[in-house]
Amino acid sequence: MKLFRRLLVTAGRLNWVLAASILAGLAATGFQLGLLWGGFTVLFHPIPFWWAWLLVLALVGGICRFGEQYLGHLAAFKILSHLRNLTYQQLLRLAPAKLDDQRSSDVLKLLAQDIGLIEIFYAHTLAPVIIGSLTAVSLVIVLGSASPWLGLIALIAYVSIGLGLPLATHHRLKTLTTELNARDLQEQRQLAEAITGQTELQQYQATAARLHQLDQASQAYWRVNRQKALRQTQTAVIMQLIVVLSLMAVIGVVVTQHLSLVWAVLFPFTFSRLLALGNLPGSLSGGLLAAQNVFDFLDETPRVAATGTANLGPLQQAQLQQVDFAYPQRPTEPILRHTDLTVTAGERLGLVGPSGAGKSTIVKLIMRWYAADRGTVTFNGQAGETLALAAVRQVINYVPQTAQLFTGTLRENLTLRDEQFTDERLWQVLDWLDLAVTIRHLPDQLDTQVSSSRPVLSAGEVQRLELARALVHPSELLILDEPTSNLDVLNEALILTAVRRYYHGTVILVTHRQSSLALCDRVLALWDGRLVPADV
Amino acid sequence: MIKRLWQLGAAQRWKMEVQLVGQWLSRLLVVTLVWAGAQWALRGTVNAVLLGLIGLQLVVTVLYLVASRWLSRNGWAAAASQDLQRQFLNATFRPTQATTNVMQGLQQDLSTLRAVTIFFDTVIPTILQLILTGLVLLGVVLWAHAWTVVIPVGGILLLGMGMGLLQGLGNRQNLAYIQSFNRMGQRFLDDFLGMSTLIMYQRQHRYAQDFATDSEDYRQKTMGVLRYQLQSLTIMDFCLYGAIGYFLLAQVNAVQAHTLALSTALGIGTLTAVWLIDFRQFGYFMHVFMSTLPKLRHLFAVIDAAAVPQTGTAVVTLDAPVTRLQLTGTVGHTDQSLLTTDLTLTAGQLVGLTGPSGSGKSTLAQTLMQRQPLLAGQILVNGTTDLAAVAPTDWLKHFAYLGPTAKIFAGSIQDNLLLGNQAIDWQQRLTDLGLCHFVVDLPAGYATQVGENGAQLSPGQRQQVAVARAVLANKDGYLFDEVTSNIDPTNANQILSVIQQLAQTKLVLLITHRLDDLNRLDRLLFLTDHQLISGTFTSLQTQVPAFAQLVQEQQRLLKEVATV
Repeated sequence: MKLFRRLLVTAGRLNWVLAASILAGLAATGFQLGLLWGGFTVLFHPIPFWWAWLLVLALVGGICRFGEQYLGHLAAFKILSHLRNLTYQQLLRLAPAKLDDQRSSDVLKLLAQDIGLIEIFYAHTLAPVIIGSLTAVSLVIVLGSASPWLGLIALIAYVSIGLGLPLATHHRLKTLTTELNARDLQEQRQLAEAITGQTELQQYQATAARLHQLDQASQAYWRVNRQKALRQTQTAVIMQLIVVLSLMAVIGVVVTQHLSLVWAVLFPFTFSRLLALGNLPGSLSGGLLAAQNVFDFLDETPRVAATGTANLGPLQQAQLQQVDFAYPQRPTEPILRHTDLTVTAGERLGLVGPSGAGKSTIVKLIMRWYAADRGTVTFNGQAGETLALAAVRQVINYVPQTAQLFTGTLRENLTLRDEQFTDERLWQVLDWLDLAVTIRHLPDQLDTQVSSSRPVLSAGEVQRLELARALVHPSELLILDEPTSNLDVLNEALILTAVRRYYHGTVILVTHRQSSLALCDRVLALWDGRLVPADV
Repeated sequence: MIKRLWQLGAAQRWKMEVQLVGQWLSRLLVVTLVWAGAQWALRGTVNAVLLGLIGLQLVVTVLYLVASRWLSRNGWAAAASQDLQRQFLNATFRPTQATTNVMQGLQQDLSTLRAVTIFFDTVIPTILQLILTGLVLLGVVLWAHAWTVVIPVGGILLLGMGMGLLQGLGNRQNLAYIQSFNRMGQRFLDDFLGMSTLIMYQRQHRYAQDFATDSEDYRQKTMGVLRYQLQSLTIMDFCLYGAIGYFLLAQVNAVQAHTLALSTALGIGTLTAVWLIDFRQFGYFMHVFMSTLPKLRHLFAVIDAAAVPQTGTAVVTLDAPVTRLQLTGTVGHTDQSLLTTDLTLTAGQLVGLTGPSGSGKSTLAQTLMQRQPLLAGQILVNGTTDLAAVAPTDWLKHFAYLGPTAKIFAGSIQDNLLLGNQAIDWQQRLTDLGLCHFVVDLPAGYATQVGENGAQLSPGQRQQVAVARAVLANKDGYLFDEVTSNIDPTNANQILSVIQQLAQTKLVLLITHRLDDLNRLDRLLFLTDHQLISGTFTSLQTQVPAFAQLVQEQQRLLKEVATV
C-alpha cells in the first residue's frame, strides 16, 4: 500500500492526466455499450434518426477511447522519463563508491529493465482497474434496476471474473513468472556464449556437447513457459464458462420475468472491460516488484555525504592522518590501520605492496570516493569533509587500471564534451603519447567512432588514450592506479615517458611493477595497513 | 514467410489445431445461447438443432478444459521455436562462416527467436478462429438475410484501406522509436560504466544533461508510435462498431417487413458483433507481424546463407599426424595480393613471424586456418595432401589457432581447460610446463569461477588459460597470433617458454612483434613489402634495414624509461 501511495506521489500533477484518462475510458465504455444497446433495441421498437445517432455514438466513442489511451500513456511515459533522470542523478550521488562494488552490473540490469516495467503500472494497471471496477459497479446498478435478479447475477459474475479468478491464480503465476525469467536469462546467456565462442568450440570439438547443454536449457525454459501458458489457457476457458453460465441465468430471468430481451443480448458484451482485469495479476506483480527495486535504489544513501562547501586553493599538500578503513561490504577486514601519508606538491610518489593490501584504497580516500572510518584526510590542512566534493575532484585526474572508452568519437573521448579544448591541443597531447601518427592514419581521424566493443585501437593504445585524456584536462594531482599492469613493456615505456616529460604536477603512482617505479622520486610500501619507505 | 513459419515444428501442429477447435466452439457459445434464448422468449420453443449445438459446444468446452494439460505442455509454439533455434544454430556453427558476420545483430536474432513464439501461441490460432467464425457468419447470413452480408465485409474492407494508408507512417515511426531507444540505452550503459571517470573530470553534469535530452527524445518517439497505434485503433473501432450498428439497422428493416424472424435477427446480430469485436485483435497482430517481419527476414537470411551447398572438391580425411606444412603461392584478399612465397613449417622447429602492422601476418594465419583461400598455388599437408581438400572440421582436429583475445567461457577455470581434452594427468602437465601457476594463489584453485568472458581474471591470466587449453587439447600444430603482445611481461615470458617447449615435438608458428620473443627464437620470418625474409635475429638485424629499424625503435623506448 505504501508502495502504491509512493507511485501516486511520484506521478505528482500527472495524476490529473491519469484521472482524465480514466474519465475518457469510462465515457468510451458507455458510448460503446450505448451503441450496442440502441442497435438491439431498434429491433423491438424504432428510435427516430437512429442511423444518425449511430454515427455520432461511434465517432464520440472512438474519440473517447483515443483520449483514454493517449492520456494514460502520456502520463506514464512522462513519469518514466522523470524516473530515468532521477535514477541518473542518484547514480551521480552514489558513484564512484557504488560502481566500485562488484555487483554494480546488477544495478544496471535492474534499472535498465525495471523502469520500463513501471509503465505497466501507470498505463495498463491503474486506469484499467479503476475503469473496470467503476463500469462493473454501474452495470450492476443498471441491471439491478431492471430486475434485482439480473443485478445479483451480474454481481456474482463480475466479482468472480474481476476479483476471484485473479486472486486465485495470482500466487501460482507469480512464482511461475519468476522462474520463467530466471530460465530465460540462463538460456539466453548460454546461447550468446555458445555463438560468441563458436571458433573455440569448433577448434576443441566441443560444439556437440555445448549444443546439447544448450538444448537442455531450452527444454527447461519451455517446460516452465508451457506451464504458464497452460494456466493462462485454463483461466481463459474458465472465464468463458462463467460468461456462458451467467448468460444462461440472465436468459432464464429475462424469459420468466418477461423483461426486454435486449438485456440478455447485451449482457455478454458488458464483460469486455472485466476480461482485461482477469489478466492483470501476472503483469501487475512484475510492475510493482520493479517499482520497489527502483525506489530502493533511489533511497540509498551515498558513502560520502556531500556536506562540504569550502573551496580549495592551489594544492600544496594532501595528508592522511591516523586513518583506519575497512570496506563496508567486509567490515571485519581492516585495510588501513593508523595509516599516515603526506604528499607534497610537485613530488612523484610511488605506492607498492602486495595485491589486496590497500594501495588503491589510499588513493580512493584521497579522491573522496570513500570516507575514513577514523582519522582525517586533509588538503592544505583543511579537513576533507569541509570541502566541496567538486573542489577536491577538480584538481585530481585519475587513470585507472582498465581504460574507460566511451561510445563516440575519439575527440569526445579526450574532451569529454568540453568544447574549450582545441584540436591543436589534442594533437599535441596525442603526439606526446605516440598516438598522433596512428590516429592520423584513420580515415576519420579525431572523428573516428569508437566504443568498448569496437575500440579500433589496440589495448595498449586505449590505455595511452586514457592518459592523453588526463593530460588534456588540466590538473594539479595525477593519480595513476596500476596503469601499466596489463601492458607490454613497449606501452609501459610510452606511458611513463609521457608522464615524466609532460606532466608537471604532483603524481601518485600505484603499481606492483618494479620497472614502472623508475618514474618516482619516493616510494612507499604498504605492509599490513602501514606505509613504510621502500628501496627501489 | 508465413508458409515457412507454418512449417516449423509441423509434427506438433495438431495440438494447436485441437486447441483451436476447443477455443472456437466455446467462444461461439455466446451466440448460440442468445439465439436459443431469443427463440425461447419469443416463440416459447427452441429449435432442436440449436439445442444440440449448445450441448455439443458445452461438452467440447469442458473436455478442452480438462485436456488442456496435455495439449499445452510442449505445444506447437515450443516445438516451432525450438525448431527455428536449431536451424539458426546449425547455420551459425559452420566452420567456414566468417565470425564477424554472425556477431552483427546477434542479440537481435536471439530476441527474435523468442519473440516468434507469439505467432504460434496467439496470432495464428486467433486468425484461424476469425476465419472460421467468418465462414460461419457468411453461411448463416446468406441463408437468413443474404444481402446484409455486405455490411460486415464492407466494414472490414474499409478498415483494411484505412490501415493501409497509415502503414508507411507506422514503419517510419517504429524505426525512429527503435533507434531512439538504442541510442538512449547505449548512452546510459556507457555513462554508467564510465561514471567514475566523468565525476573525476567533473563532466558528469554535462553528460546528465545529454542523457536527459535523449530520454526526452525517446519519450517523444514513444508517443509518436503510440499516436500511430491509436489512430489505427480508432479507425478500427469506428469501422467495426459502425458496421455492427448498420448491420443491426438492416435487420430491423427486414423484421419490420416481416421477411425475417426477430429471433434470427438477434442471433445473426450477436454473431456479427462477436466476430467484429474479435477482429480488433487483428490490428494488434498486424502490428506485431510488421515489427517482427524485418527481424525474421534477417534470421531466415542467416539460415539460407548457410544452406547454400558448398562448391567443394573431393574431401580427404587426414589420418596421420600433421608434421609438415608447405605453402607455395599467393596470399591476400581478392582485391589485394599481399605475398607470394614458398614457406615450409615442420614439427620440432619453432618459427617466429614478424613484420610491421598491415604487412599481412594475420592474413597468412587466416589462410593456414582455411578461413581465407589462397589467391594462387596450394598448401600441402605432410607433402602429399592438398589442404583445400581437407574438410574444415577435420582440419580443426589437427590444427589450433590462438589469437590475442581468446574466448573464455563462464564457468570454472577447469571447465575452460578441459574443453578439448579430458586427460587425467592434466594438472601434472600444466605444472610441468609452468603454466597457470597463478591458480595456486586462488582459494578455490581450478574450481574458481571466471565469470562471463573470463572477466574475473586479468588479461594475462586469461591468456594463460587459453594457451593451457590449447596445449591440453594436444593438437599436431599450433598457430599463435600475437598471444604475448598485449599482456604484462611476466605472463608473456611464461607463455613464450611454454610455446618453446611445445615446439620441440609439434608444428608451431608464432606471430609476434615483442622484442623479448624475437630475441629468443631460433628461426625468424620477417614479412615486409610483399616479401618473406628468413633468418635469425642477428642475421636479420645485419642484413635487413627495415627489421633493424623495428628493433631499434623498441630498444630506444625501453632505454628511455630505464634512465629516468
